[in-house]
Amino acid sequence: MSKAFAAEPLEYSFDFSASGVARHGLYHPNSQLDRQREELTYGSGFYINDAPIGSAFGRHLDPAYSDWIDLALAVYYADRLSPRRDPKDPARPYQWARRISLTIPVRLPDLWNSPAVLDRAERALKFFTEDAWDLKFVPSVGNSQSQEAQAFLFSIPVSVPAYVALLSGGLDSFAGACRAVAEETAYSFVFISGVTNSRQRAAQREQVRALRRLARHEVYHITVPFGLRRYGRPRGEGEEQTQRSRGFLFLTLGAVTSLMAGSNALHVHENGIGAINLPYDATQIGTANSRGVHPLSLVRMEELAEALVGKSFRFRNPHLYQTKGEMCKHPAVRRLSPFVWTTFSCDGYPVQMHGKPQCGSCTSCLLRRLSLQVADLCEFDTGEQYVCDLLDRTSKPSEKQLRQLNAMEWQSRKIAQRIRGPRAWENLVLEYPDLQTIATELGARAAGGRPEVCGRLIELYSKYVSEWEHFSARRQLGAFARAA
Amino acid sequence: MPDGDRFERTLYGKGWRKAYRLACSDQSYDLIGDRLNKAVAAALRGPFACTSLLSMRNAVLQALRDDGRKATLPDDGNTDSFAMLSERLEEIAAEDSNSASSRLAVRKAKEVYLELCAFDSSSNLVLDQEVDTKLANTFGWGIVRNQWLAKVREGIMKNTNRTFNEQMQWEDGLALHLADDLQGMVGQLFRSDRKSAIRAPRSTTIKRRMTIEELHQGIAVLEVGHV
Repeated sequence: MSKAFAAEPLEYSFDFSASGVARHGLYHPNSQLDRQREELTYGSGFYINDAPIGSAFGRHLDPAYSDWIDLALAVYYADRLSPRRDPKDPARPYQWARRISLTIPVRLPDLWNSPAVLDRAERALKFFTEDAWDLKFVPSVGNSQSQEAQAFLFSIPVSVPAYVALLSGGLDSFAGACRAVAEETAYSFVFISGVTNSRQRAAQREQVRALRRLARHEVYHITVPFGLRRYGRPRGEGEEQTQRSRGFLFLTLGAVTSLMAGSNALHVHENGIGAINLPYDATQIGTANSRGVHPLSLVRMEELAEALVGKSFRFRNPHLYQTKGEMCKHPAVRRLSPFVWTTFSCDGYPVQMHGKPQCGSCTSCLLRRLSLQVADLCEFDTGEQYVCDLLDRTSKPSEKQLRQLNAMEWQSRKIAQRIRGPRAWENLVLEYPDLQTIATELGARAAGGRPEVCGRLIELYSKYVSEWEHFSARRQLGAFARAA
Repeated sequence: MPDGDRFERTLYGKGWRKAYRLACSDQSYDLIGDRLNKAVAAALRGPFACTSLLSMRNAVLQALRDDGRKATLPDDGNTDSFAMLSERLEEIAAEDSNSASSRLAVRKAKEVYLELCAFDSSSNLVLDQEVDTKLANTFGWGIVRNQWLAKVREGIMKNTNRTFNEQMQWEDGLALHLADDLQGMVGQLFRSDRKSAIRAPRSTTIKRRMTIEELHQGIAVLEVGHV
């Protein structure tokens, strides 16, 4: 084997105990030390404000929860500032993975360095990012709860039992929230959003206002802003664009909120096709496809949460066996359909074009448009908000704009070929062996075992293929699709 | 402007672009296959080198043997062979620096296991040779799909005016045509005493040499008025 190509993964190391990636929050708002850490945080350009979580419940974050958020932020920071190897460099081997070492100051180093927690944290991160993570937790200094006492004077405690769910502002999370608010009438609702830009935040607020119309009990909305300050640096310079650890951060924020609300579960609303996110073509291996709310990501997070809090905690996706179209068909979504325009799905949201925040040609936009068509909600999904309106017969998309549509068409045909006929499951997993892993792990937790999960997944993909075959944007494929 | 179309420019590595041009002009499987063999061999010698494939093959074989033993013994009920194999494959990939080739190999090893065992009741009769053959073929074809076909499929369809169904049939035919060569080529990775570099099989197409008459023909030049 040629030694020139025996490449190791790129290695990165971050020591947060020295430079400090502090967060704004209830835990350290006033002390001199924390001001210094804050400045350093701004200096390094990352910030998070998790104060609203504590405020909503009128008490301080448990130290373990604060540490968990610190870990998630440190991971997000490190992930974003550790570019993967350029796959286009012909002189280098194809290497996607990285090795990332983090030294993180925490309030409970013994807990975090215990094998049960440490192993599970590293295992979860490996699944999200497919990188090797080496975490080291050291004692933090300068955090004092006595300085935080006045922060809750005007807080409004959440009434229990509470149904806690992530609200990203996307169509899935909105549709899932509509369903939950309409059906789970015994609960008050807490929606938690991590926000990185003001357009996202405005859309989420609009959606929560709509949800309150349906709810019998209180609907609380907690927003946690986080992100990167570039200080004039060009967007993306020296950054890793894939951000595969975002899911870990969002789920952490949700889990902490849920635990603060006294609940033992966090709900994520994502359709099964999007959650499992099978590769569209053979160039996509492993985490080339995001695993933000992948069913096994949720399992890994459950394992971490249980080791951390010492009790059972669930990350539930009630829509795992539903298509996006089915989610949108729910009567509660129809009742709030005038608010569908406030939701966004685009991978590149917000697209930098006036009045057109979504591209219309990425796989997420296409799945959105397919689903709204399936749910007969096209009138609330006008083509003007897309850079490229593939549903418009008169549009003239470029080859590049048709690329994702082609990829989805190809994937749909592959799936159809596999599942139509005898031994559907056996044929399907030969093309997508990751489904077998999902069925094995979820089957161990399901009442009906693996056969039940297999059956439901086959049903899910059958419905998806059927929906796809009626998608009007396929007209754009013209002659290529003529034999369909 | 760079040479080639939008699809061709997405190809990196020796041999892939020539194969693409041949595929676009609807050449025979023989011609395209020769080029693809060379491209796969170059990839295996270079950027897609996979030192862990032998270990993965051994892991698959071991898992299949364990399954065979379990079939004759009472099931302890708490071990899932596929889950255990997956864990083992992940460990092997991690030892091989989690390179893209090792990630692909993990996926292909799982496919081979599932094909040979999980759904085949006669799996306890599986032979080493069968695993070698299937894994070599699956991994080799995986490289072709990953490095070439998935990137240029649209271009090939456009240039040959094929429908999706026709393209699927064409790809199935190509996979079948390449199977023996890929098995032989990738199979070299399973030899633990391997010392020589991986080489593509000898070309099956005869290179056509220009005749002296053809060489003496003038080169067509555009008239000035057309420029």
